Amino acid sequence: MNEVNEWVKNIFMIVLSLSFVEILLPEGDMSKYLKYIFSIMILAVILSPLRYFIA
Amino acid sequence: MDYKEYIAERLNELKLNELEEILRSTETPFSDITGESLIENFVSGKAIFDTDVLINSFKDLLLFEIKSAMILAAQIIAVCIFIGLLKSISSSFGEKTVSNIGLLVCSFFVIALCMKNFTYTYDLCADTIATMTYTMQILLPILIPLLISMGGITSGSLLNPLMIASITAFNTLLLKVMLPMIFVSTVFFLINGMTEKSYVKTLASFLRSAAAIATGFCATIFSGLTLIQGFVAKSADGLLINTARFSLSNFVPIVGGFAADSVDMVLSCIAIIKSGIGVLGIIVICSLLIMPIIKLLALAIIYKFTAIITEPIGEKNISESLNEMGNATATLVVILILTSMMFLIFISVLIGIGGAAR
Repeated sequence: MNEVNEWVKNIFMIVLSLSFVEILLPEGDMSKYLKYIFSIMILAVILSPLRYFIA
Repeated sequence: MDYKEYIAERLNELKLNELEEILRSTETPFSDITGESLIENFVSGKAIFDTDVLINSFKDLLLFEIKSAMILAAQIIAVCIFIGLLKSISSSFGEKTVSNIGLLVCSFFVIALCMKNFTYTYDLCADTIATMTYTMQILLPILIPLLISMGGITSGSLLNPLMIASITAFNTLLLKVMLPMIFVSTVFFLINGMTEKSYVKTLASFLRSAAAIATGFCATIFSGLTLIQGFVAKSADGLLINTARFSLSNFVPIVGGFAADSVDMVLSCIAIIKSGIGVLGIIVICSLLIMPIIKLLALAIIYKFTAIITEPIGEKNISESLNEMGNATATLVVILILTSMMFLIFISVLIGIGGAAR
């Protein structure tokens, strides 16, 4: 139960903070690469419980 | 001995206080029913409920709940109107970032409102399930001995562990797995309402439908097992009781016939008590269910309604997540109904066995 709690909290925090940072990003060529990196980060957090199954 | 005296005597020995206490605490139109009044009513052939009073009080309750949920709707709609205003005048802020942050803060506000409300709803649902389980755990030790005392030895001894086990297992599963899944999926839907791209929407809908399907599956399996067991045990008991009556009236000379008849009377008195208490149990479960279901339904209606209103003025994301909140509340209603359905099936199996054992 604790792990699930942690997982949901992590997803909530990462999506929240990244969407905040996304707004503050300056307009430019780099922004779309940054957004891609952000999505990869969110993916990593969503998949993080997999480590319990692999290890 | 008169049959009324016999029934009254048996009723006094049973501990119905706790059940009646639960019924009284629900504050529904049923709450003044007691076990004795119920059995008196259907021995003398009177109706148990007054239909007009029931329909009127439920209508009043629904309207009242909708009215009290209106406050939430008004808050959300006010924020959404503000968002619309902010969007339209955002060009005069010069920089786009400022207005975007304003929009984000506004959606935080809507989400906080929804989350606060949903926590309350969730607690209500969990409490109702726990109370229903508690009611069943009080009711079974009253019904099963009655069943055994009227000759249902096989069914009593087979069904008691099965029912207790499935009720406890179902309660634990619901409170530890299904309800948290719905909660998590709602959190994900709300997160989804804040971001422009949807990151966790599919995950959220998967979690919710998985919870609903798992609940249905568990309820079907548990009640199916009990039903099948009940059918088998019923015929075994019928054999036993008929053999007893037959041998009493045929092998004991002269008085045997009268003895068999009085056995019949005692058995049917116990059957009346058992179905009376079973009906009392059904009424308790239903009245535990009615208040939360009306509350949740009113909330679901309000969420859907708010989603409809905010779609033209607010942001698309927010209206979508409000719609999903409505769906989540409706899923809670479905889970409550499935749970009570399972408990009602258990009680009616217990009532039904008594009727056919003769």
